Amino acid sequence: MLEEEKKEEVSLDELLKRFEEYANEPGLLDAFVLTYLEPYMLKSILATNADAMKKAEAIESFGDLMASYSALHTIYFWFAEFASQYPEEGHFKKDMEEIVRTMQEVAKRVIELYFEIKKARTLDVIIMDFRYLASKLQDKISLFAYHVLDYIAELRFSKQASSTP
Amino acid sequence: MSSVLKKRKKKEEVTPETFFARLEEIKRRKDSFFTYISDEEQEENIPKLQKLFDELKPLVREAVYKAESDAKTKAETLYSFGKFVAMYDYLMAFHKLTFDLSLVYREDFYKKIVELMERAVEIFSKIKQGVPLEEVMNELDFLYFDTKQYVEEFLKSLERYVEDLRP
Repeated sequence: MLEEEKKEEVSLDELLKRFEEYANEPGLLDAFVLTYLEPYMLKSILATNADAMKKAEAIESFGDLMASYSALHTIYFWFAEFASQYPEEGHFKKDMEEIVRTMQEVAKRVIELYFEIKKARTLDVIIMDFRYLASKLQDKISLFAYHVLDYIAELRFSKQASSTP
Repeated sequence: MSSVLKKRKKKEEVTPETFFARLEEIKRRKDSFFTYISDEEQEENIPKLQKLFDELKPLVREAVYKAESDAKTKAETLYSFGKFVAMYDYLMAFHKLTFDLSLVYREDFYKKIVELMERAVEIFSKIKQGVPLEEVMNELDFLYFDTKQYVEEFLKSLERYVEDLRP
């Protein structure tokens, strides 16, 4: 890891290879793709010609995106835990698939954005992209709340119905 | 800029003390027979806390920009701040979920929101006092991890709650 941190930059091939390897495992996608890319991304933003305020804004919105990614990954584990406990039920299967798809899309786009920054794409556009990606993750987190709420309402209803003579 | 405008601008500057005072105001308990913080009190205070947080965000950014440090450290501090902001927003959203589900620990959740806000204001105060940004960054990272951990604990308790409800 320390050896990796010493590198100045990371190649597209390496990132894509990592992506392919961990694409179906949200936890690993978070740790070995996005978190791995994090220091390189920060370095590339700092190396742009934008003014200090713009760089700071880009970095802050990237932080927001990374935290949302991590939160969605935690939620994925919630569903996964549920699925392992009650494998006979298909509940939340669709949610899990959607989360994995979203996490893949976001990771892939973040990799692209890293190279777009290096190709001197303006940080204003990059910031908008970071925010858009973060909002995509937020939408999925909101959906989690709705679906869990529905599911618990269902459970409460059947519990009540079964206890009524 | 005219002197009148300058004066007004100066007058409008919001200090950490203002935030602490507003937070104290939010924390002040109403005269009540109950020792716990009622749902009504929480429902009344959450929008105030959200507003306080929304007002705090740009001020922290500005304070970091103005701090005496190199551009890299400033940017990294804002990165830690950005992570905390997103996680805190999730914490607020999950508090709403504890309400919608009438979960027993919603009061503890509320207290945690207040506590984390207090720590965020303290960090703002430290930046204004000129504490080195490296130190601020560390504190922001701790704050982020604490917030994240609380979100994870909430999800765990939600899991247990679902288990109890299942036939």
